[in-house]
Amino acid sequence: MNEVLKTISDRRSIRAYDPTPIPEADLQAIMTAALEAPTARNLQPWHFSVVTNRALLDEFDDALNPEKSVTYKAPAVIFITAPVDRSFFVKVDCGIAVQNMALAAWSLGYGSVILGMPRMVFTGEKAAYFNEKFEIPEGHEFIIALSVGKALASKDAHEQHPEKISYIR
Amino acid sequence: MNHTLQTIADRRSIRAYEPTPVADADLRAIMNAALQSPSGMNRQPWHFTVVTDRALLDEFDAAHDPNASLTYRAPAVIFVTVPVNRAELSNSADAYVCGRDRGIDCGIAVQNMALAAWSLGYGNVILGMPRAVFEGERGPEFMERFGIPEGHEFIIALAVGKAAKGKDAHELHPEKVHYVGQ
Repeated sequence: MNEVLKTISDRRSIRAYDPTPIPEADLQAIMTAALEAPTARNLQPWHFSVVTNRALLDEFDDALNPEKSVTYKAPAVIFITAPVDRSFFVKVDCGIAVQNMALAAWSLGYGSVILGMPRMVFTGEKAAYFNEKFEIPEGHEFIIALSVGKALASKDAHEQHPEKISYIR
Repeated sequence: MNHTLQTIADRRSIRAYEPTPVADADLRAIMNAALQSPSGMNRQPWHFTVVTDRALLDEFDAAHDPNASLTYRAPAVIFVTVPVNRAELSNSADAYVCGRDRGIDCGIAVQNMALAAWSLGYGNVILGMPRAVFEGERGPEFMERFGIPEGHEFIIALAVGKAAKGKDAHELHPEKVHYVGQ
């Protein structure tokens, strides 16, 4: 198995992080992987807000649930947004980009988890406040996020379902 | 740069292929990468239909445009489908994931396949246009002939094969990243 297949196979969704910040060079490498992602008609509709201000992220988490950290106290959270009312393929584009980042992070020794729940905050009453704090462009909506950091816990791989593949020869 | 970062950087959307079939072991490795993808609430909503019957694919292409190959004559095309948006779940957390986020799930899976393929020496291109055929009058016919599960709809596809030509990387736009630090 080559290193890429191994990274794909070994990646886990991590939900406990060491608070140590991610070195700048690694964060840049992860974001380069995001920008290298292919998009439908090369429209690159996304914007990435890379938030490493943990106090601000704690405030964000509290807006959803004061008892629990929706971003799992990760030292970096990347919020992916796109202009409202773009085509359906925007979701696919953002899925591609978030997986590029997750694999880049894992290859550099960082855990990550893909987060859909932040949408609840961005559609809630503090949406405008966090849009501004996170420097999200005007007219964009939240699509998906990625928490990244050194993993403090791991988990088993999910069960695979080969019956979800059919071969038509 | 490690092999994973290199593969992400080097991958290109390939639109011309050698007709040589993708070796079976390689196709299985690519599909294994698909199954290893994370999905919202681990629902794994997708189904993957791996079509290597090029005559059937040619018919599919012709249904869209007899003068151009929609699937670029690739020796293998993987169609990713999911259950049609489940209206009965419309106000639940399930609908939240199954409905809104299944495009994201399928994007993740298709990129896993694209990177796996590239790492094994195969070019590929992600295709949204097959949707036009599936939504057209011959859509139900191809759903059946491809053996796509009942009640599924097309999300995205991947054409895979040995690249017959490359291209330059797309221009990167670092202004699309904002860093919000302390």
